[in-house]
Amino acid sequence: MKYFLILFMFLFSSTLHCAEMKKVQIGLRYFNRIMGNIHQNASRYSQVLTTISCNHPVKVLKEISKDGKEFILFGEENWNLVSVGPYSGFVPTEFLSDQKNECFEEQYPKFFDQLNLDINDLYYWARLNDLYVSGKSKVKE
Amino acid sequence: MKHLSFMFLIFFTIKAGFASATASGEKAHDITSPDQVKESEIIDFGSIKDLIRKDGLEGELKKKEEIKRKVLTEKKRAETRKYNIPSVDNFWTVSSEYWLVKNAPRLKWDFHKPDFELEKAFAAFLESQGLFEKKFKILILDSSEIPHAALPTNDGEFIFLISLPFIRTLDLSKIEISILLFEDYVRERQGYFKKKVLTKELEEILGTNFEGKSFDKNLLKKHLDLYSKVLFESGFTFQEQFEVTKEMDSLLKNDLKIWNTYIGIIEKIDQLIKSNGLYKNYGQIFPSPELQLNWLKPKKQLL
Repeated sequence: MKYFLILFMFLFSSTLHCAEMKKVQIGLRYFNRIMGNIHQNASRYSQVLTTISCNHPVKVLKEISKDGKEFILFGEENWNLVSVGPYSGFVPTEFLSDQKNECFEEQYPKFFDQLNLDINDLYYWARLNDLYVSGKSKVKE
Repeated sequence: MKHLSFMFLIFFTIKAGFASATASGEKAHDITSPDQVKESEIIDFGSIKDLIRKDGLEGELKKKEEIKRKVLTEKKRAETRKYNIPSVDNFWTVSSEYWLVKNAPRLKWDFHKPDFELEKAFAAFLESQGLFEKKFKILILDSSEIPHAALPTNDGEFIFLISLPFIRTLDLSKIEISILLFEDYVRERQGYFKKKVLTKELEEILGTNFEGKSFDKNLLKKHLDLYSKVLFESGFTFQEQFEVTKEMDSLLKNDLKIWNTYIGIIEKIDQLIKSNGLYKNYGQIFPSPELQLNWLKPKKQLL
């Protein structure tokens, strides 16, 4: 009975949470890698919802509670909650640009066709961007 | 009398109907016979040419024709641009990633890897060497086929490969990994890899346009095969390795702790390739740790 009560309370609270939160669009950005994935959660190993290509527009969303407070999960500062078509998921912030990019496949479309990329290759290209460990040395202070 | 007035009414009704039918017949005749239109009724546009010119309509027409011509020219140019082949400066990053994509199953980089925070350690190492604003990507492999390497990239970008089994077997620290990647950085900067994988035929077509011509896909295949050949089989020459080692020597000697760590890594690798069959190919790709130690160690004993 005690466990049932706890389970009930847990389910009730999570339902309440979902009902209270709403997603608000805060901007439009463009994907800046050749291929990339939209993940279910803010992790590069999280399930892939869909794959997008360079310059694909994505709506950046923010979760806001009823009282107007922004909802941020720990560890999400390098990820953006986005909406792409019917999907709503996460993408690393560094993969998004404010303006359209000079994409290789748009600059050299017929040459890019010659690479003969099949669906498997496109998956791996998107995955490659997921799995790179990227960094940059800083400017001299 | 009643009959008479009835007949009179019928007579007039029929007459009125006949008159109306005749009139509409004449009209129909007018429309269906354009050949009968008088010459004086045709508008002679030649005679109003001056009037059109006065109104500025001819100028307007010329402007519109000019706009149309420009649009068509731009359309043609855009269509031609689609067949551009990237120049040699824009080609390398895509070419290296293309090779990584095509060799994904062999390299085994699609796996859940531990977060070593290598990016922070390597960025700090580059900064300590006075290399600022350098963007890099590191791909960790779950295969020992390529222990470590830097792939050719466009200016200002770097792609490094490092094998997780290699890191674990040698129990490398973050600073040791950074030094190995730095050696790859020096090797890549020398341009040895690019020279080995860029065929003359491919170099000739880079930066050109292939509209109306067929594209030889074998050039790309050959290019990828050369990548594999360098990284899996032939590697670098003794001369190239000597130059890289000498440059590492001069760059790291300012910090003896780092320099000693570099010597320590080469000693570890030397031991590894002599004892572990998995890495017996290492000496062929990067010849050779034993010689590197000879090149690095001071010739005369210091008192």
